[in-house]
Amino acid sequence: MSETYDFLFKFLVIGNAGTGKSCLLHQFIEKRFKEDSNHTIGVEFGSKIISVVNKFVKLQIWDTAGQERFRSVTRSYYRGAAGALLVYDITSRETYNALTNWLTDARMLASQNIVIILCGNKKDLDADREVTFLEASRFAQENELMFLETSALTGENVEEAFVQCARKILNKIESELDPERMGSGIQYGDAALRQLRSPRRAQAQSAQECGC
Amino acid sequence: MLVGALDTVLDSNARVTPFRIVLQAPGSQVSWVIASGASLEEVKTHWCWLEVNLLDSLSVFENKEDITSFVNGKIKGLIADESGGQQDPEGYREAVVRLEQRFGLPPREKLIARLTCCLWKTHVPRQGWMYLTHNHMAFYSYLLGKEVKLLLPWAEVTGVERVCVGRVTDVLRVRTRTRQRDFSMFLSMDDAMATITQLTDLALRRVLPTAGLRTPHTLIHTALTKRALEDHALTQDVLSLFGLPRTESVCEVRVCALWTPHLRSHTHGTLYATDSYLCFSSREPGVCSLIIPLSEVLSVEKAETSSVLPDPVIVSVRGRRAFQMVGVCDRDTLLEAVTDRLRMLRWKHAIYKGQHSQHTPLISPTPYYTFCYDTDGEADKSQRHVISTRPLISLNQSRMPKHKTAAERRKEALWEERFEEFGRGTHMFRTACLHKLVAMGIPESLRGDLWLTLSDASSELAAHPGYYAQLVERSLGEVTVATDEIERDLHRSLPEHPAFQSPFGIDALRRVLRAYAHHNTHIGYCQSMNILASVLLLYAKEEEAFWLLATVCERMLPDYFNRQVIGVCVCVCVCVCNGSIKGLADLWI
Repeated sequence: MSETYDFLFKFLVIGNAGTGKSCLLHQFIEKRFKEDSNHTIGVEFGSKIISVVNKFVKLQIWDTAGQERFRSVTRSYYRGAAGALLVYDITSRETYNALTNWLTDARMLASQNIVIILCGNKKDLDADREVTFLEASRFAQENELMFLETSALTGENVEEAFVQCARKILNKIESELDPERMGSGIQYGDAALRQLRSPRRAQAQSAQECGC
Repeated sequence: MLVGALDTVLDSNARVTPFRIVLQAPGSQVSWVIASGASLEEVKTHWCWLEVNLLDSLSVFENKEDITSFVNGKIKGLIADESGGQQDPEGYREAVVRLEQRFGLPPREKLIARLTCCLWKTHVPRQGWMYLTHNHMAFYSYLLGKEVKLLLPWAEVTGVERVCVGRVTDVLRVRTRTRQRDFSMFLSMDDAMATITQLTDLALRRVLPTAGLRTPHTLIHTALTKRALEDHALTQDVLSLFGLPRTESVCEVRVCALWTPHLRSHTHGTLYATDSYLCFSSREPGVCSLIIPLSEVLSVEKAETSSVLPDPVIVSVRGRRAFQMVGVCDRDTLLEAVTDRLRMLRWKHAIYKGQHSQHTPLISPTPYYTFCYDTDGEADKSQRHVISTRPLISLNQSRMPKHKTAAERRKEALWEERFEEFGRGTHMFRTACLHKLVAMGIPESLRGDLWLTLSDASSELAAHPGYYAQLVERSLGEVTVATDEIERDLHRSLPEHPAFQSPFGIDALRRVLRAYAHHNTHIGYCQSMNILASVLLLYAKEEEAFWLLATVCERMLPDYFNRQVIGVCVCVCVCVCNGSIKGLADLWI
């Protein structure tokens, strides 16, 4: 895949241990389910370029360890994330109950305008379900999150989760979000685009050049 | 030679005697008052004494530092002689009263040390006293009618370092969040630095009780003295030098020479006797070190003194080996202390054994599973609590390549040679060559064995017979957060290795991890311990793997696995600061 892109977003994948965060990431990048996987130690990393509303966006995804005691380590990676996948396991109420904590962390430590999508993973294990779709979508609504139920095993909704999140960020850039602000978690793909996007600055620059 | 270093200074300050002999080494800003007198005659007698007693011997020395340190040592020795080894209780009491008057600290605030030094305030040095207490650093100076008072709680100190400022070469800089203070002209910079760093560290531990850093019990408030601090520092140094358990404390320290057969000579160094070890470290770092667990020791005796071998001490250990140390000063006290420890250990061991012989071996008839994550057959469950007595790798031999590679065989030969010459077991001579050999990679056939002896997990194993079996039994039915987390990770530990694709391996891993979580609730279960344990289980028996895991988590990497994984955080910080993963740091920061 070519390395040209319009934007670069920093993404986080967070949630309790064993909810399938790394499998989601693997499914998204490699398009298949990862059997026999180790748990994440500290933090892992993956990136992929996707196409959203006529733009190429490179996602730089930080996949974190879920065990409680590693939070002090993973928290340092929150800074300047533009988007986050908050993952719980639909077959485990415990992982759902922990969502509030994760949400507080993300809102506090990442970019203010962080776009979070809630992912109820392991959708394929519907028989063992402990958290209903309705309940989770209500939670998402109350906390202004997007919401999807995903399955890293079958790949259902995995790409969508990342794409929807990226699309929302792009929309935000159109309206309120300033990518140039420190810690926004967004970078431009190449310099030419930046000048196109902020004509005022380009004019100011050219005026300066004339001055010299 | 001394002329450049000595001069007599007349001081108008009435509080000190008018005539003094001051020693100043060229290039150093510190000068030492080594004699004083009320009249010129008095000083002259001192001067004569110096000429007679010191100047002759000074011509022996080559450089000026040696002279300074020699003269200092001499003078200090004289003072100590005069005061009969007492640590100036009068002065101490006075200092306590002064501290209380000037700073109004509560009386329970214990004074640990009082140092004379100089505070730099906008390029002006202010000579005065620094008081180090349990919670505060205080500085007081009264010079030319100007009073300088400074009180700084340790908890506010963010850094202590030695720097150079302009012409002043050795400055101790104390940083707080808002500003920094520079001190210089300590009598002993090393000493001041050590005490200050230790106190800051202690304060940090008190401020962050949740960080899982425990304040050593020897340093609790009431017992805190300068002496305790020094002892603690020594103990910490020795424990980290030899990787001993944190509960050990140093009893005796002796300079001596150890007979090292591989060098056909004696090696000079220091012998440390701790609660359950005898350790030796050569004066030249890395030449040779030795760790003898007292549990291995059969006897410690003194031998006949001869002109070639003064004050020899012979330590005999199991396996018909003995170590000889010579030049051990005050060997009787040392022998007494060690023999006492030995007797106590044997007595403990006898009691432990007595208790244990009544204990029935572990075969629990009750199924311990209250819930089930995996879907193994019923037949397997009965096998779950039977402790495996073989390394997992030996069970999977059929799937492994039968032939050892040539490199592997060559390495094995090298190790065999080494065992011949340097001995085998925990008390082998540890030299620089050993480190190289380990770094080359230990051959698979020796891994379990060498891990046990080099880390000294073998002593723990020997000291606690049957303990692991008890732990396994007790942890069987437990349901805690830790057991929950363990279950989740059992199938995520070396999943690609055949040993962990069968219930046999998984069960062994489960037992080890659960037993450890039960054994050390302070750590419980930390992700990554599963991977460690899996690798250990491959090459060591189950019980050995347990003690190896305990050694790694408690002795080799303390603070890495506790609830706050503070060691990991520190590591990440150091990495980011040093720029070794600069790419990562640059990416978003």
